[in-house]
Amino acid sequence: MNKDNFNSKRREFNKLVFKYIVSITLLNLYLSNGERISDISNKKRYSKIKWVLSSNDV
Amino acid sequence: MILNEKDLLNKKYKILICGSGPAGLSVALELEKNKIECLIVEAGDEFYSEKAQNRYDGQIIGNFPNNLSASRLSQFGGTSGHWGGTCRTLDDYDFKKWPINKDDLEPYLQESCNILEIPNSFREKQIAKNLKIIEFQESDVRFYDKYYKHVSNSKYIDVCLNSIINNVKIQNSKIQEISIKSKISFSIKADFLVLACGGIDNSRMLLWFRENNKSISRKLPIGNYWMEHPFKKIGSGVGNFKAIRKSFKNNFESFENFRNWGNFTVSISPTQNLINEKDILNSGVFLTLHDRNNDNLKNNVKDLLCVAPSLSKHILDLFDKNLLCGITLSSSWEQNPQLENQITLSSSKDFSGIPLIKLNYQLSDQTLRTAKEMVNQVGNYFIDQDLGRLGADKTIEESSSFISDAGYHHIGGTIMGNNQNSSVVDENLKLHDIENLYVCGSSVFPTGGHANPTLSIVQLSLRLGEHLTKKLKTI
Ligand SMILES: Cc1cc2nc3c(=O)[nH]c(=O)nc-3n(C[C@H](O)[C@H](O)[C@H](O)COP(=O)(O)OP(=O)(O)OC[C@H]3O[C@@H](n4cnc5c(N)ncnc54)[C@H](O)[C@@H]3O)c2cc1C
Repeated sequence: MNKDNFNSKRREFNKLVFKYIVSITLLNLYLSNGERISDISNKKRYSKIKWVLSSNDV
Repeated sequence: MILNEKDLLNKKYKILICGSGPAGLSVALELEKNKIECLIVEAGDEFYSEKAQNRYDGQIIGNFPNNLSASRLSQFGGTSGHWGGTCRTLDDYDFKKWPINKDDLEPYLQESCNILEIPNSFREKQIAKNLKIIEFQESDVRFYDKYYKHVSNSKYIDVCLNSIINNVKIQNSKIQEISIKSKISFSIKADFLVLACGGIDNSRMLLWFRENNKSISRKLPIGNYWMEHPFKKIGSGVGNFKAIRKSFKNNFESFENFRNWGNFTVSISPTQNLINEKDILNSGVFLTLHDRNNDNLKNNVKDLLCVAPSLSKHILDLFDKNLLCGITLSSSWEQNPQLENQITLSSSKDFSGIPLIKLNYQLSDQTLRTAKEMVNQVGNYFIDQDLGRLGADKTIEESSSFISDAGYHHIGGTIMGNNQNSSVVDENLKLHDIENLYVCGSSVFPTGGHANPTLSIVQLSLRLGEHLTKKLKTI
């Protein structure tokens, strides 16, 4: 891989990471109350809804 | 013409109609078309009056969620003065326990749509093995606004307001005299009496007539098998706004008159096959989509991620593309006829001397099971089509605490049938025992389906008007 090619791949990767971080931050902000999306998934809180899920969801 | 009580002294009518709601007025309009004179006696005034409305108070035993008085209106035009206007025909399989079928009402559908000023279009499309989407129409008609002037100028329809039919005298299986309480009390004669007092008071009047007349059989199940349409938010969800819109829009490309609450609402119903297979009742489920500013979406995302962490990435992706939406599932569905759900007379009376009512009301397990099954079916449809995830609210999951709102649709109590021991009126809406007493309204429905009842009430009323016209020709 030449240098230009490497730089362009790196830029693409950096863009993806940046987008991911911004999305997570936005969603975390959106969900509010200082709750983080990772906390929600791990906490296994009491759910108020009995979800109809597929076997891949859980 | 609008008459006062003094104009009625010593008058005799061919047909006397008790009540000027959609049922009573539709019978009168059909008679007018056939140039037959009738008198409508209406307990209420031209507009709302507390005195008339107080006659609608009553006592509730059980889980009936609505106020008995607020759920109807006693005035010219009846409860159409504050109805919602949503209309749909019953499904053909709703007639399973009826002595007539959907085809018997079909000849009156176009005229009923003209009265309600709605297009005669109630399409449906099967979207999966067990589900179909269905079309409603919305009527803006208030019977007072549309018909008060009309009847005031009519040569054939007379109306007497603020007057209550409070008794009948029966001899030789025929009503001979009808007592009216107005500013004065008097009696009037008519060849036929039609009770069109609404889905609760039709039972009340017949129970009261029976207390005063031995010729109305004790065997008739008057007041029994009373029903409502449970109406409740039953579930929640999270989905892909564009995919859902596209999925249902594709199916409903030319269906313009969707029930439209919130951003976008789809109405889904079980197929006959599903109803039979799972032994559930008929039902209409409404999906309302909420945009990202709505708290419903936030709460539903939080809830879903608690139990399905592997969906986080997918949700994140939808959020990122601004496609994520919250979903509310509401339903208005059928209640099965149960003997114990009944209207009886209380010991207190209204100012005209008619006892107030007692309503006994409970929801059955089958009713609750229907709501759960529909969430399940629509939820699986969402998984299959990759539209999102849906779930049942805990309120419908925990049976012991289940109480539903109700749609203000008063059904049963004077049900139609061929057997005198299990029904009150025959297929022409005539009381089994009495030759010239008819009942009209949703009280005659043996089962209620899930569709709002007024369109079917109007169809039945036009049919009754036609039947009475034929009957009069034979006298
Ligand atoms: C809030 C609300 C929303 C609704 N929304 C819808 C909807 O979206 N779609 C739908 O299809 N339906 C709806 N309904 C139901 C609809 O209003 C009724 O189905 C319809 O009005 C029934 O017509 P009716 O003529 O049988 O009875 P009513 O309209 O109740 O009329 C009965 C009339 O009889 C009179 N009366 C009673 N007893 C006597 C007596 N002894 N002597 C003289 N007169 C008497 C009363 O004063 C009254 O005027 C709704 C109802 C409510 C309350």
